[in-house]
Amino acid sequence: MLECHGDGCRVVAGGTDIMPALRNGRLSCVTRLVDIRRRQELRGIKITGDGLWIGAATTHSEVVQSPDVRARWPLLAEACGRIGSKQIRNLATVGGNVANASPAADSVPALLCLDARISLLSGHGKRELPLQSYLAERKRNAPAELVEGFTLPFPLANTYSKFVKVSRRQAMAISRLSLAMALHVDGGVIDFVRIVPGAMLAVPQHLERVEEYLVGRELTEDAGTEAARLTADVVTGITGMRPSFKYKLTVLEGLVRQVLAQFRDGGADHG
Amino acid sequence: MAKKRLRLTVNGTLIDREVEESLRLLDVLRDELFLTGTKEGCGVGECGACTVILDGKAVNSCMVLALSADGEVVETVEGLGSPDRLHPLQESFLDRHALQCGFCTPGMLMSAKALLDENPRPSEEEIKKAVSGNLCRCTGYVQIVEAIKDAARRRGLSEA
Repeated sequence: MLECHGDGCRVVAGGTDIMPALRNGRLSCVTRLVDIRRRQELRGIKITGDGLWIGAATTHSEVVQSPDVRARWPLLAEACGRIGSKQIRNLATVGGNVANASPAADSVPALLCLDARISLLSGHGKRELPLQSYLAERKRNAPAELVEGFTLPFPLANTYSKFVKVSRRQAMAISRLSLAMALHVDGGVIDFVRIVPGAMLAVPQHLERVEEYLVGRELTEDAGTEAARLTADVVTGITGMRPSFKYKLTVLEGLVRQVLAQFRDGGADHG
Repeated sequence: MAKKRLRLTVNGTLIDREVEESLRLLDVLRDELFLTGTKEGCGVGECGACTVILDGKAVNSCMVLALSADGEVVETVEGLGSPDRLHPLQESFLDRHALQCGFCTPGMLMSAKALLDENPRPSEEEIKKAVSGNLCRCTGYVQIVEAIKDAARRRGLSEA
């Protein structure tokens, strides 16, 4: 159906993004809606041999309340818990947050940090690929595919993680800037790190150059300061300077330094 | 737009009728069933005035296409209590002066009911979080949070 009707057909899960868009006429070309909100095969959270499976139509509330997610992937619970209000989280879905492709989507930096893979369904069958590759691919063209769900590999034991959101209000606000980070230290040396800023890049992505800098080093204050400076450099390198960056880069740099300091003191979530 | 069959259990009563495909749950409640206690504020999921409980969860009824809720159970403010037998939340809202103009009140009550159904003894933080998607522009949140705390206490006493 998605292939036949092209832009005239949209998938609705929670509906919290598409409903306002439909009503104010932004989607006047849409004549068909496919409602997947209660499709059992697209819902639910379970542990599999590969890690954690989250169906696309799973709501943010379900993610936040899942004991499995809270125990081993607390970063995702933290990020999903900061989306909208309770009423929105009860409707809005993880698949919708990704498919709607807002650069400010809060679940995306967390999913990227956790090396999520996305599985997609279409008339040609099913395919699975890293979420990062999917986001880059979709920027070029949006194929007629349905998001089936996400697989998150098991994190290393004792991985630190943290999600920070900067917005106008504490509740019910769109991120001006967010940051998801995960870090693992083995024998005093960093052996795994992910740094993903949100609402800064057109295609959210983890900052490989900063991660490469940190891996193999001890988590010292100096390393943190340098990683923070490098973060600002890398982000500017990807998008160029933007009007908002005078503020955002300074904040991002401060947050990276602060979160790394928290990891150093052992004061963040333990997955 | 065509009409389709919608079955909903609203405040314990089964509704079975044909409705326009484009209607939201909010429109069906207000314009078809005349349950006008549920208010439309912003219409974009920001203000929470249209909050109802759908299958046990607080949702913005302006964000739900009515047909998408086919077969589900809806609770609105009309089902909360009656004038001679108020719900503990309604009593507390009156006693604690937790309403002034009253426009946000039905949504506040439904968010609060969903919270107490899920968590009968919420902390102040949990209460604030539960109503953070409900905007009030005149009463002020202090009385509202106090009223919800009070209702939780009353419910606890009546069950003890």
